[in-house]
Amino acid sequence: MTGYIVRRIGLAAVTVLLVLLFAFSIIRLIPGDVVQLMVAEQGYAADVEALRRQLGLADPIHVQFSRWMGNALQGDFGQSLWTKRSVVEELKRRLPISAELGAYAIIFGLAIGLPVGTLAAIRQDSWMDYLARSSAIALLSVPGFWMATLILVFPLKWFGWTPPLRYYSWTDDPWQHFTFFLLPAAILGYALAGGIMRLTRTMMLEVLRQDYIRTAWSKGLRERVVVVRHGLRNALIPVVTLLGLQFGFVISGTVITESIFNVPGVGRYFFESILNRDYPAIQGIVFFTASIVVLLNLVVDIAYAYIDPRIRYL
Amino acid sequence: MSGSVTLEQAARIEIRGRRLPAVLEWTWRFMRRKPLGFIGAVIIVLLALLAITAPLSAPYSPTEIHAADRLQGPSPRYLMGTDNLGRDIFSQIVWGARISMYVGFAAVLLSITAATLIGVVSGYFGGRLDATMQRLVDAVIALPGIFLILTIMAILGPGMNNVIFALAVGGAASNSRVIRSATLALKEMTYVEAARVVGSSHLRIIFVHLLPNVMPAAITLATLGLGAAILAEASLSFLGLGVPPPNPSWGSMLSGAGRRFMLQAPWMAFFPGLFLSLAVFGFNMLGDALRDLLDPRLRGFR
Repeated sequence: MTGYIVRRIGLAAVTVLLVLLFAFSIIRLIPGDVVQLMVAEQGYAADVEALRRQLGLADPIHVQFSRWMGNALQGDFGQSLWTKRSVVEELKRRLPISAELGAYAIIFGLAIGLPVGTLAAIRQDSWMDYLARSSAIALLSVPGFWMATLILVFPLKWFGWTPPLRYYSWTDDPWQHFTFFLLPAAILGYALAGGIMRLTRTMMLEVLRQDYIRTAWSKGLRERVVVVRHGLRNALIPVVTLLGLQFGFVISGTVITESIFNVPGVGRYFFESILNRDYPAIQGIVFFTASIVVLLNLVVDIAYAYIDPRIRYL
Repeated sequence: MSGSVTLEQAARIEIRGRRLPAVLEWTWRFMRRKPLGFIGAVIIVLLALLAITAPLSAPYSPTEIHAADRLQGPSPRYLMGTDNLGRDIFSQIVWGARISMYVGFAAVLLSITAATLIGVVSGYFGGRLDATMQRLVDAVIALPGIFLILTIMAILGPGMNNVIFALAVGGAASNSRVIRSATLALKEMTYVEAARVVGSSHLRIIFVHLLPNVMPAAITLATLGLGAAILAEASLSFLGLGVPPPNPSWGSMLSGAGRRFMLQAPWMAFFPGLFLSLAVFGFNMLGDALRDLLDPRLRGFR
């Protein structure tokens, strides 16, 4: 087991390093580098070169990479080329906001997905099952940005109501802070609800065929006890796992959702940084998000190997 | 004499006895067994027909400007209203269906081909090659999808082919994982072992035994991927990095002017989104049903 864990951690470290190397080189392929954007065709060639040297962008790419890695290992991820603000500080401010948004979205997804998925499984092939299955697919199909646009337009047109679009920090106004997140979280969460619904149904169907479920029935237990305590509990493991692995999807979703609802989180930061060619910011974001993804995968793998020894194949 | 029927005759009688051609019968069985998947297929066929016959089914040219009829609501003359330049929304949607379908199909074809190649080679040869390839795949998967796609679009600049390429790269890595695991299971099958024993070359085993057998998985991934690709193209257009104007794209109709005029003319954003959702819904429903029918590992689940 120890050997397996050590190998796993080693592989995870390699993956993060590869992601970084990959991100580091491809963002430098984006035409029109940051210096060109900064001087916006108004600088002379000499100024451009000086600025590039000053920002450390004139060095060969492997020199830049090792310098960045050296600093990163000491916790210094540099500063934004535009705002001069420390990338770490910026992420410290923005990661919790995106994480809160993501957490509400996941809660929303679970609150809808689990009960409906379970219901669909215990009433398999009934009209309820068909309704649940088609609405799960519908939830996965309707684009969040369209739904967001509709929610911004129609209530305003008909009732003169707009959702809160100004972010308040937790310390300023807890209630405003919370209500601000509701709509974006629901938009981000309904696709998750669709996915959770489907997986819960599939897993429940499998669990409900097991011998111990038949035993539970024949003991004369009530339906609720059989379904919830014997069924759902066992079906939940893969569902929760999937949720952990959906982190990347949630992050992807934040890019658009945060732009629409003015959420000052990581997703919007990334989009702006890409448009501005803000290399240190992009590298920092990629490093942290990729590390979280890899870490979650690692935890899931190790937990599985711990539960089921047959998995230690690597 | 009349009592004895040879096997061959029996087969012929059986064939003549069929009331429907095979294709129709298959469709009929599919409809009975997978009603939801069938609905999905119908939606896709209708949208595809609309896209193919765009020059006939669109009442106007998508770029034709009716200056006097700007921001008109839905009416018999303009089924889904007009936009801020007086262009017919319905005609734009019909032509936009072409773009969406084309981008979706091209991206998925590219992505599945690459994924199948990577997955089969990595899974079949195993060992150090597999380990190296899988670390690279890990790295691509660890990057949230939209980061990769946005970066590629920023590098390549706007353009339809660039969108296709970016979407293909975005989907290929995780798809190759599925193909690889299918290959790993197939590799242990007796018939593959037998082929190896009689001395078949690697190339022969891959092309004759493995590729045909990963096809069901690939087709399923492709159908589900089509919905995802169409959605991703629209998201990119929404962020202003998708298929550039004047090509009518569902995503860009929803973003720029569609959002600026959303209060005066909500139909400008409503209808493109509706068609977008319908298309993705259709592909997802069909893909779901195909997965049940084609993928042996999930067969018998329902």
